[in-house]
Amino acid sequence: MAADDFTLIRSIQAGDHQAFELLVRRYQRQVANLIYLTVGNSYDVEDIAQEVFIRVYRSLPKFKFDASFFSWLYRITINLCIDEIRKRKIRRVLSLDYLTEDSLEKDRKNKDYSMASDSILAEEKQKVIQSALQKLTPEYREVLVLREYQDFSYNEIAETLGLRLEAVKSRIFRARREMKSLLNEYFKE
Amino acid sequence: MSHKEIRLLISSYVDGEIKGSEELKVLEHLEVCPECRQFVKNAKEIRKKIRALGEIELPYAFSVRVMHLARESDEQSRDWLGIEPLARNMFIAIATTVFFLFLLTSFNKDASPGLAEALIDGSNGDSAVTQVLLQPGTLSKNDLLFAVMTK
Repeated sequence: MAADDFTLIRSIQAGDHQAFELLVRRYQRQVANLIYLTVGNSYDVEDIAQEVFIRVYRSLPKFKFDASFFSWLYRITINLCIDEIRKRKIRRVLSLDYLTEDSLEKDRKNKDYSMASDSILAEEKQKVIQSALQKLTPEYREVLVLREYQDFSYNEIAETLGLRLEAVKSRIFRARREMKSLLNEYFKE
Repeated sequence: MSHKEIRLLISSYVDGEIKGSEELKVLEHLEVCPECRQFVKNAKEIRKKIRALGEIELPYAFSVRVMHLARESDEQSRDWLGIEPLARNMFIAIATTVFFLFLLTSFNKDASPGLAEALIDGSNGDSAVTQVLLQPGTLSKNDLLFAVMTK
């Protein structure tokens, strides 16, 4: 039977590197997709994911076992994504370097990633959905991503985000309403 | 229950988060409200589309790379906690020793020629003579020669 998160963390705290690798493998997919949906593209997913796990590794000695590991990991991931979004906004204001050789190289590198599922929608249509998701406020986007993509229950979302259950219900409802209004044209097609 | 209250429940219904009497109320409402039926349809469509955004898969070696970085991070912190402070302390000790040696040397250089001049001038009375007699080696031959030559 696979060890639970807390058992793995205790092993890591005792110096077991192998346990950390197991923890990385367990959560790398969720972290990658969370970054992808929050940041809005897949160029920097691997770099940000690496930073997330290194930050986790450095902070694990201080982990207090008073919340689920995922909610802690989620906070670290989201904070790094927010930093990344901020940096991008600053870069956009300062220059137009996001079409430089560096970004093209990243684009080429990105093509090496395999998309695990066969996309039902064409690439353009996916961009419309992704763009609508990016236009939501962070509060709405995070509940929708946790609900629709990570398939979390309302209780899990409440625990992860530190919200009351009623607030989760209300945010999900509003996020859906907002998403619908952003995708009005799309739904007419 | 108002239409607005039902709408909140309908969102929970889409997620399978309500049961029993609440679920019945929603189902009854959906029978008569085309707007709410459309909301359910849209919510399910949005879910399908978000899920269809695709799964990012990190390279196979991702966890290996993270482990490598984690080890590097360990080494850096060991360097920081062990070797670096030792080197810093050694540097401080050497610098302090050199500083005091320099001070001591400067003091000795100044003292002897001054004493030699006082001895030749007789300006300090007997005290310079007493100091030379009581502390052999305070005044060298070179100090005396220097004092005589510059007089």
